[in-house]
Formats: sequence, structure tokens, C-alpha cells
Amino acid sequence: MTKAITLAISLIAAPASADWQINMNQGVTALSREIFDLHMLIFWICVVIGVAVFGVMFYSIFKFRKSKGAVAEHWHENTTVEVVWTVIPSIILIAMAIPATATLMDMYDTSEADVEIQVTGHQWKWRYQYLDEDIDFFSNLATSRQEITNEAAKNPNYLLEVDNPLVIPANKKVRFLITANDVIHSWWVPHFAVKKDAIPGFINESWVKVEEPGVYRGQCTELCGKDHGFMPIVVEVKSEADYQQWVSDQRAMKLAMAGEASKEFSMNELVAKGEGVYNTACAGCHQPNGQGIPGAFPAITGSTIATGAIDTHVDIIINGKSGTAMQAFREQLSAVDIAAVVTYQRNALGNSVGDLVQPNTIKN
Amino acid sequence: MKIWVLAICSVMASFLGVQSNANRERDFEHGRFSVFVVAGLLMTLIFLLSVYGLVQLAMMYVQ
Ligand code: HEC
Ligand SMILES: [Cu+2]
Repeated sequence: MTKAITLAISLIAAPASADWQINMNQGVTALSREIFDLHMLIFWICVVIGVAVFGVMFYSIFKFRKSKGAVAEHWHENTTVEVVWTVIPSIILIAMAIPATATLMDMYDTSEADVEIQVTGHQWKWRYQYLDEDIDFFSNLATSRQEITNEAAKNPNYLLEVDNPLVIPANKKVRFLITANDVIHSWWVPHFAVKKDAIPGFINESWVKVEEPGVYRGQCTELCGKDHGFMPIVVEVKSEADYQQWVSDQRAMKLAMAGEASKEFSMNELVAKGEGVYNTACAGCHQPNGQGIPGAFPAITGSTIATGAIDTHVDIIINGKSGTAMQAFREQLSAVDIAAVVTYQRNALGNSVGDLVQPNTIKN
Repeated sequence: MKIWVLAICSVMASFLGVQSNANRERDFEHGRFSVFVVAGLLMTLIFLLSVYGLVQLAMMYVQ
């Protein structure tokens, strides 16, 4: 018996003492703390009201119970009481609206931003375009297939890791212009207290100013199809100097990539590179083994397009096929990536056409 | 004149959602439908304008 009680107590107590949080996140920005404080203020007001209302109710039920001979009064109305219990809640609501309005105004004040980034939701990845910097990239899930299919142990950032994180400077006001390319997504980073719907044809605005450099993770929070849970968000906040370094690295990388596009590659180089591209950009639908999903995504193995004329094969990847989930990869993949993935699909996954395409012949 | 004051009082009571039975009976016996319609529209307009005014006031504080 005592054993059972001790066990019960430790079960209740353990989560409380461990790192187990059920309250809202305080976040890492002045705004997120303001939102948190507002939330706590309203929460405590609700607690006081709840205790008062239920206290009076339970007390009355107990004190005036039938077994003690209580008899119900019969009366129709009491205007004074009714006015009191209508006016008091109204005053409380209006009083709560004052701090809430102040916080909302701060949330919507996207003016005077130092950095502006367009965030576009795609099925199922995010695209980040730095409006002042000519930086533009896609951010794909980086968790390995083996972890997803339980063939490998899951790491602590399982499904919360990407190949190219969004990088922003600390202590600068960063404005996000959030939209989507296909269906409605939602961009959410809990530590920033920012959650904004990404809607095709609309641009929603939001902003952050993060004080401390660090890595913050989030997810798409609007059900957007098969891989909704596989399009995480990772934001790397860097110090001003590190951020500038990153920006110049990106520029250098872009130049290097332009140089690569005019190089001649061997079959092996293209296939090796293509495997990586295929696994991040295509395997979600066409499957890692190239078998596709019957009825939804065609197999690449033995596909008439992937084993037919190479121009048609290149074309469907650059331009997609409108009205289907096969999207245009023109903007997502470099010429080198496209050449590599085409060559890979033709000479791996059970296909052996034997030809290849060079990046310099890809016009995207 | 009195009929208008009473109608406006009753419209205000309806905005609050509380009215005494005595007033209700009075309104139904002595009130005029058209007066209530006009008083209702007037009070709605005043309500909308005051919400608009409050928003403008709040906006002034941030700028
Ligand atoms: C979101 C899901 C999705 C992703 C990601 C995707 N595809 Fe597709 N793909 C499709 C669908 C659906 C079709 C069939 C289109 C149709 O109805 O003809 C298709 C068709 C194709 C075909 C023609 C196959 C045939 O025999 O009809 C090729 C080749 C192809 N995709 C290559 C790629 C490559 C390369 C990538 C990665 C860069 C890729 N796909 C990524 C969904 C996808
Ligand atoms: Cu999504």
C-alpha cells in the first residue's frame, strides 16, 4: 500500500521537477516576453474570476442544500443584480483589452526593419528570399530517411533540422513577408512568438528582433498535405559580424556555383551528386528506391520519361507538370543539380540508359 | 419628446441585454414601432462611431 502511494506521488512529482513545461513559452524576444506577460495577466484574471464564481456557486450549493431544509425562492427578475453581473464583466473585458491592444499594436508594427525576408511555403519546404541581398534558397528537411523509417535511432532534433537554415542577425529588426506557392501553410517559431499563415496570393507580415545568437526551431502549423510534418523551420541567429560573414559567404558560393555550371562533369560525378539531390528534393514523392507510390506518384524506375528522350525528362523537372504535384524545379535547383538528378534518374534506381546531360546545356 | 427618450433608454437597455418586465410592458402598450426603429438605428450609428473613435484614439498612442 505505502509502496503504491510512493509510486503515485513520484509519478505526479516527477514531471513537475523534471524539465517538463506545459505553460506557454517565454521566448527570446522582447515581444515574445510581452506576449507571455499579457497571457499570464489574463490567465490570473481568469483564475480569480473562476475561483470567485465557482466558490460562490459551490458554497451556495452546499450551504443551502435540500437536506438542510432549504426552499427555493420563486421570483422573476432582479434588474439591479442583472445589471451588475453584466456591467462588471464588460468592465473587466474592456480593461483586459487595453494591454492586449498595446501588445497587438507592437506585433503589427513592422515598420523600420533592418532586414527584410520573404518566406514562401511550398509543398513541403520553405523558401527564403533576402530582399536586399540577392540571397535566395530553399530549406529542406535534413533528417535521414533511416531515422524516419525507424532503421536508425532518432536524434534529439528529429524532424526539426534542415539543410539550409534561415540566418538572421541578432539585435536587428527582421521583417518577414510570408506567403505560399501552392496551398496554405503557416510559419511558426515558438521562441519568437510568431505564427503567421502563409497563403497563396496574400502577403502576411511579421517581425522579430532576437537578442541572443542561437538556433531556434519551428514547424509548419497548417495542415498542408502528405509531408506537412516534414517541413520544419530552423533559424540561426548570428551576431552582426557573423551575419555579415555569412552574407559574403553566400555571395561567394553563388559565384562558385555559376562557375560550376559551365564545367564539364563525368557520369560518376553527376550520378553521385544527383543521388543527394534526389534524396532531398524528389524522394519524398518518388520514394528513395524510385518505386513511387502507385496511384499518387509515378515510379522513376522504368518510367517512360526517365528512360525516354532526355529533353522531355529535363523539361518535366524544370517546368513541372501543371495540375499535378510534379512542381517546376526551375527555381529550386541549380543547373548543376538538375543535370545531376536527371543523370542519376537515368542511370540509377534500376534504370541504365547510359546517357548524361551537362549543366551548361540546361537553360532554366 | 418623452416617447423618444423612453425609446432610446429601452434601446440602450437592449444593448446591455437587461430590461425590466415593467418597462417591457410599458413599451409594448405605449411605444410606437417606427420610433424604436429610428432610435435603434441611431444608437447603432453612435455605437459604431464610438468604436471607430476608440480605435483612432488607440492608433494615436502608438504613432
Ligand atoms: C510533391 C511530389 C513530387 C516531388 C517532390 C517530385 N515529383 Fe516528380 N512527379 C510527381 C507526380 C505526381 C508526377 C506525375 C505527373 C503526371 O501526372 O504526369 C511526377 C512525374 C515525374 C516524372 C515523370 C515520370 C513519368 O514516367 O511520368 C519525372 C521524371 C519526375 N517526376 C522527376 C522528378 C524529380 C527529378 C524530382 C526531384 C527534383 C521530382 N520528380 C520531385 C510528383 C513529385
Ligand atoms: Cu506546410
